[in-house]
Amino acid sequence: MSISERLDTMRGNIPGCSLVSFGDLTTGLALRTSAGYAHKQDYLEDILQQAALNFAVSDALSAEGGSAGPQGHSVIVATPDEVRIFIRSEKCVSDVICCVCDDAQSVGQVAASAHQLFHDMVGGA
Amino acid sequence: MANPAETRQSSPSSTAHQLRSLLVRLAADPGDSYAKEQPAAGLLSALVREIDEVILPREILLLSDGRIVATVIASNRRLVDLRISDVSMPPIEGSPDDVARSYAQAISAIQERAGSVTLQRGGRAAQSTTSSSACSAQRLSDIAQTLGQQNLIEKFLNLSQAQALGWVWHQTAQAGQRQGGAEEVVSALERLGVLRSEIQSSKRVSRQLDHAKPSCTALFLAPDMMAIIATDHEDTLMMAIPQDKVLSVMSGWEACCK
Repeated sequence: MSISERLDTMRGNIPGCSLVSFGDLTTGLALRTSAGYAHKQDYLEDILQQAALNFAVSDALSAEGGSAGPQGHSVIVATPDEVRIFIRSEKCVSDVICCVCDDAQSVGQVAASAHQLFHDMVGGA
Repeated sequence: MANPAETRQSSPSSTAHQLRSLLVRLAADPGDSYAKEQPAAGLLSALVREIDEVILPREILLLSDGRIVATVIASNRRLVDLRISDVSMPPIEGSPDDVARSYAQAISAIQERAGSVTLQRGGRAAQSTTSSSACSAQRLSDIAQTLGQQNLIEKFLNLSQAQALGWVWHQTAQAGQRQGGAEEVVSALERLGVLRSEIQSSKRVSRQLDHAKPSCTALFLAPDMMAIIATDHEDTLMMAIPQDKVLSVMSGWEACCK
């Protein structure tokens, strides 16, 4: 199954999920996206920037706390319109899945699906 | 940028509507107009309407249980003085928004202290003061709306505080900072605030995304501990919570936004 198909499946399986995007935190590029309707590229890049900012803060705190590597691989941002759930790969920390949902309750399901996807991408499947 | 009160223009239909409303209200018994309990935003809205109709210097009385708790002096559609217990507010320094915010906060505080507050038109004011502490009805109205939204953060804090290990609330520049919880947790949150500002200024972060919208972010703070950062206009609330409380706290935020 291709990444695009995996993202489509993920979106279909998560209740209230309207968008799933696979992106790169370093470049800020949304590489593959599955969405109910077309989103502007600017929006996709903006939410990736938001993810990058928050993970950078987490990493800075981890480093100050004496941690050997990055900790905290999930970020949730809730606005009155939507909830964005960001899950990044533990092995390749620039890989990120951005999910736009109705509420934050799906974070566990988003994290499980995202980590499975990351695992399969590095040849675990 | 021009003051909205100076540039506001009315269409003929809205002028007719305003005139009709004014005539209805003038015909009503003044004591009945606001003789019911109303939230601070409602009191402010009523007061703004009164001020907006005043040209010659006039007193507007704020009553609680038939007793005068404060007197507003209005002139030329502007609030020129607020006297609480017959003492005028000290001169307010800062921008016109700061002046309006100080008045709005003082009026909200009067409402909170007194409970039910009613308005009554008073007589002509003794003198027309046009101090720098005056603010237009329109600006007071704009700020009153902002104050209503700021309550979101307070509501969220009240709802979530029991689950927080510590919290720091940066309010507007005038109001300063409030905090609570364990000292080391508060220090960690203050460090989080500094780091976040530094990283935000060094990264290309879009100003458009979530512009002017309240938002709440959950991110890693320390092992088994998450940071919650809730923002609304100039207010930022940072809380530290146990990791297993994230969903409960985020649900609380969503409930507060509804």
